[in-house]
Amino acid sequence: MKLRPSQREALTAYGLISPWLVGFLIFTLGPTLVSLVLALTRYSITNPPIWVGLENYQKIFTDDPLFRQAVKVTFTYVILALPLQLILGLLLALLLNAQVPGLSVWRTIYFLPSVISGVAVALLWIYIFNPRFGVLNWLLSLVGIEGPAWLESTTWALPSLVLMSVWGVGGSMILYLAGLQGVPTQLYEAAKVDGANAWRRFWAVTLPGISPVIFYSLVIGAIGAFQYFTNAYVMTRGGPKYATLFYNLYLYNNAFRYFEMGYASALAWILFVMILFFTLLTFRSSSLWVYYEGQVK
Amino acid sequence: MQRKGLTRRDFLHLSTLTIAGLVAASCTPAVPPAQAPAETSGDTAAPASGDKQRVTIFVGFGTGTAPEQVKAENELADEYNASQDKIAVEYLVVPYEDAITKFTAMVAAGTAPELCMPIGVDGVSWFLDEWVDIEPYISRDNYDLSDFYTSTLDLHKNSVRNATFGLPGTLYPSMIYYNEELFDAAGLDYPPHSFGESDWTYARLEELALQMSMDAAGMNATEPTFDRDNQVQWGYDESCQEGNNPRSLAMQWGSKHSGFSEDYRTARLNDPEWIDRWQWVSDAIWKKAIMASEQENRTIQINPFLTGKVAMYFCHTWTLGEAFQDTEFAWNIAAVPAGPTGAIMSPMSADTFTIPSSAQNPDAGWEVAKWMFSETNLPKLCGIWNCLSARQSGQEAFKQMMQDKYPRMDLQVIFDAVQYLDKPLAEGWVPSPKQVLDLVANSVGIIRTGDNQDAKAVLDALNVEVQKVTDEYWAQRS
Repeated sequence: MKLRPSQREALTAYGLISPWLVGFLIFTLGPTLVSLVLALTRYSITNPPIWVGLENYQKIFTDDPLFRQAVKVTFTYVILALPLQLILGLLLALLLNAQVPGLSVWRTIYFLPSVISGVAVALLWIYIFNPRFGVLNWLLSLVGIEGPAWLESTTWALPSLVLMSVWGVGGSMILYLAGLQGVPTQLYEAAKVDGANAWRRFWAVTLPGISPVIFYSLVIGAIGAFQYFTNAYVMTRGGPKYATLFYNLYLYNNAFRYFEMGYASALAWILFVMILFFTLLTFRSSSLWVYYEGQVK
Repeated sequence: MQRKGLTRRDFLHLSTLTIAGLVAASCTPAVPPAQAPAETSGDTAAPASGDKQRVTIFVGFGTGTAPEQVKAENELADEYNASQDKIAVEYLVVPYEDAITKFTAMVAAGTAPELCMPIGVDGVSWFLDEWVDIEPYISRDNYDLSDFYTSTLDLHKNSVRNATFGLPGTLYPSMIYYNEELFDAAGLDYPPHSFGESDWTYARLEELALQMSMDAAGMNATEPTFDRDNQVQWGYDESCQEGNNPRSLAMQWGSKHSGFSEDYRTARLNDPEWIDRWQWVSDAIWKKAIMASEQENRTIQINPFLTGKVAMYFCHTWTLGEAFQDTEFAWNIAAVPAGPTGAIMSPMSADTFTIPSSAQNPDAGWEVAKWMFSETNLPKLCGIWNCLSARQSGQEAFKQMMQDKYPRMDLQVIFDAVQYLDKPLAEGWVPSPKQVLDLVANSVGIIRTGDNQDAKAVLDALNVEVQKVTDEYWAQRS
C-alpha cells in the first residue's frame, strides 16, 4: 500500500520519537499506572499485594499526624524558599546585566554552586551549619551574635535548609540574564523619553519583559520545592523532632524503610495532585501577569 | 558536482534499523544474579557447573564490604569450593546503603540468595517472615553447640515465630573506653577492668565524669565557676549506645525487657526504669554537663572519643575499626558499671547468617553455613570482620588479632563482657522494627537536643506512638 506523503511524514516522526516513547511507556507511564493500583493495596514487596481499597487514603487523611507534619513542613519551605530564590536570582541577574569589569568572572562565580552535585553540597553545609565549629556561627560571633544550633534546633532546622536553598540561585540567574537581554532596548528608550525613572522602567518594562522567565522559574521551582528530598535525607533525616520531615522524605521512609509500598503509592498520588493543582493555578493566573512578545492585551 | 544528501526514506530506514537493534539488545536474556559482577571490587568464585548446587552469599547487611574483606571472603569461598564437589559458593557483595533494596528486589524476583552473612540481629528483624528456621537442621545433624558461649545460644531465636534463624557467630560486646591521659591529668584512678566490682557503679562513674568535665579555663563541673558555654572536655559519652542501641539502656537500670511485653503486643517504653534511665541521660547533658548535647557532639569525627576530649566512652568493639590505632593519646577499656539496682549489662551487637525461605537451595545454604561457622573457619571470618567469635575456641585467634593492633588493650574485659549481654537482646525484633526505631531515635533526639528535658513526658508520648504502630502491625497480621 503506497503511503501518502503526510502518512509517511507522520511515520517518520513517530519513528524518531519512538525511543523516548518506548522509554516513557515502560519506565514512566507503566509504573505510574501500577502505583495507582498499588495505592489501593497493602504491599511489602516480599509478599503479594493485598487489596484494601481506600484504606490507605483514609488513614492518610484521618489518622496520620506525620502526613500533616510533612505537608506543613513542605508548604512552609515552598512559601519561604521559592520567593527567596526567585527574587535573589532576579536581583543577581539585574546586577550582572550591567557592563562592569570582570563580568564573566562574576557570572561564573555565582553560577558555579548550582553545578555541584547535591550530596556534596549537603555534606559541605553540614560543616557550615555546625553550631560549634561551623563558619556561619563563627562569622556571626565576629559581630557579637551567638548563632543558633541550626540543624540541631527544631526552630532553626527548616530555616537552615531555606537559607541553603539560595546556594543554587545561579541556575535561575542565568535564565533571568537571558530574559533581560531579550527585552527590547527601544522600550527603555521610549520609557526614558516619557520621563520614567529607574524604578518605573523596572516595574513597567523589565518585569513584564521577563515575565515568561519568571513564570517558567516559578513553575519549575515550585515542582522542585514540593519534591525536596536530598538535603533533608543527607543532613537531618527529617529531624530534629520531625522539623524537617519533608513530604518526599516521608514518602521515601514509608516505601524503602518501612516497606509500606501501597501506603507510599497513595502518598505519591496525593503529592501529584498537590503539584498539579499548584501548577494549574499558576497557569491560570499567568494570563494576568505574563506578557509574551508580540502579544496584544 | 551536486552532493547527494540523505533522503527521507534513507533516514527512516536507518532509524528503524537503529531502533530494532536497541530493542533486540534489550530483549536478550538477563545475566543471572549469581553471575552478575560484584558491586565492589573482588574476584568472584567460579560459576556452578555440572550438577553442583549454587550457593550465593549476600554480603551487605553489616560488615564485609570493604575491598580487603571481599578479597579474603572470596579466598574462603575458593577454599570451600576446592574442598568438595557438590556445592559452588560465590559472594554477592552490595554496599550497605543498597543492601535492603537489593535484597527485597531479589526476593520479589524469585532470585533470593541462599545465605545472608553477616547479618545483625536488627537486620534479621527487618525480614522476620523471610528466614528459614534452622532448628530442624540442628536437630537433624545433631549439631554440636557446646563450643559456643552459653549466653549467646538464644541470640538468634525469635519467640514470635518460635524459630531460630542463625547460629551464634560474631560478637561485638560493649565496654567503657577511657582516656588514660585525662584520668592522669585529673589525678584519678582508672576505672576497674573487672566486672562486678562493688564500687564501680554509675554513681561512681558520674563522680569521675564531673571531675573530668572541664571548661576552657580549666574549671571542672563540680566547681561553682564552671562555664558550661565554654566547655571543652566531657567526662562521659554514650552517644554510641543512644544511637545504636537505645532500647538497651533501661536494662542497666533493672528493666527486664527492651521496650515491649513478652508477647510484643504492649509497648512499655515508659516503665519506671525507662523514665529513670532517660532522665539520667537528660540530667547528664543539661544539668550536670558530663555528656555533650547533640549540638556539641556534632564534631568532624564520627567517634567523640577519638577527639581526645571525652574521658569515658560507652561503645562496642566494632568502634575499634574507626582509627583507634592512630590516636594521639593512651587509652584502654574498662568494665561497664552497675546501675542503681545493681544490674550490670553490656549491650551486645551480634551477627549471624540467615537462609531466605525463598532461596532455591536452602539445604545447600545450611551446609555452607555450617562450614563457615565451624571451629576452624569462624575465627577466620572474625579475622575478616574484626569481631570476637561466638565460639570459645576462637578466643586465641581473637587475642592474636587484637594484640597485633592494640597491644595495650585489656582483652579480658571483652571476654568477660560476653557474660553480661542484654537479654532479651535490645537490637532484636519488635513489631514494625524500622518505624519503632525511627520513633525511638526521634525521642532520643528530643532529649539530646534539649527540646524537652523531661524524660517522662518524652517517653509517655513515645509510648503512645509506638503502641499505635504495634496495634496496626498486629491488626495487619490477623
